[in-house]
Amino acid sequence: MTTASGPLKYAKNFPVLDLPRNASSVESRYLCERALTSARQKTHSVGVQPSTESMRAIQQKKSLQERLFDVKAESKILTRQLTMHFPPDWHLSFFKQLDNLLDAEEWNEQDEPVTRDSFFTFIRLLLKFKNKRRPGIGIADYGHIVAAWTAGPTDRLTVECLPKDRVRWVVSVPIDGGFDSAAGDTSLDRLMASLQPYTPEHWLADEIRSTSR
Amino acid sequence: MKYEALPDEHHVVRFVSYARLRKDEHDNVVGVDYTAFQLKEAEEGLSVTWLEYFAADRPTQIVGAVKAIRASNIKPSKKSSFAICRVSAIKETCSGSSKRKIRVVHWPEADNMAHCEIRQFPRDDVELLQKLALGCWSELVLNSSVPDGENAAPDKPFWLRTT
Repeated sequence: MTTASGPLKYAKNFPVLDLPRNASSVESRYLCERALTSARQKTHSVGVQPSTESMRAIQQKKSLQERLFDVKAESKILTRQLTMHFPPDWHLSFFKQLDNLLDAEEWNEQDEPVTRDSFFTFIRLLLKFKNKRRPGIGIADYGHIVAAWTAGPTDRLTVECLPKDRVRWVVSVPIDGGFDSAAGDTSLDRLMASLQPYTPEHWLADEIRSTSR
Repeated sequence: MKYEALPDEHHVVRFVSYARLRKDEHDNVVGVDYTAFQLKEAEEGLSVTWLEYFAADRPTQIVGAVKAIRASNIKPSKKSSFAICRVSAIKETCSGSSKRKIRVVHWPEADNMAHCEIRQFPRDDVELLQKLALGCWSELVLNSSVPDGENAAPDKPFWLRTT
């Protein structure tokens, strides 16, 4: 069998992916090497599959830095697979945002790293808004990634990405010197319908630009 | 033990990690998100630090509060910030929006004698948390703007509260 990156070689007892060094990122090579190590460990304990509890224990033993690195790598790999749906080089700016958000030097130990389920919802949110302005990103409790569009000090759309395509949205719009606000929980498919009363295009339109870079 | 309620005209300081700051698509910080005020499951009140615990002019009080937080179990990173809010503003926003009567009480801890808690703080009301982020906690101090140096610790009272 031949893959896009070369022949799939079968070494003794386990498969090996042979990737040319310039065809993958540092994160991809790291994940492939980890997968290889994991496969090697499994062949030494034939018939024994790690339980969910022991996988959880393995995760907890990892340092925060390792967990953040894993999250960053997996998120970038998933995003890379979908770049054809976004403008050219969109992913480069987005990867910079991920690097900043998941920087171990800046991460608060009391925060849970972004979960895979939340990131899946987030990437599907971005696909729905693929021709719109890219959001700022942050974190909420339980490892939920947050997408934020800001058109003014009190003019905001915030979408917290929950697992299984659920989202929590919060809006505020300036009015009469103050601001009105609203919030809700809904499915990703229903999000735009929920936001319609607040003319969401004014947050999402491409012509809005921040004043400084 | 009876915990002292803070006067309405006083202020409290909330640590905001970089990840919970609101940013635009270029990672410019544009404010604080409601996520900065979410209570963890094990928390019964929102942790803050009393600004007027430190007897000095306002800039020195801010430095005192930041250094007290740095000396605690929170380790602020370079890009993190501190949000400052008046006690009365928090109370008015909470009572106006959700009829919730919160209390801001002095709750000293071994690693931060200026520590306070906001009790009966809303746990899941994201709309109220957003109103607090926009209306009350809009004054931000960057961690990087407060110089490094010795941090305030409970056994080293560099700044003393006047009684």
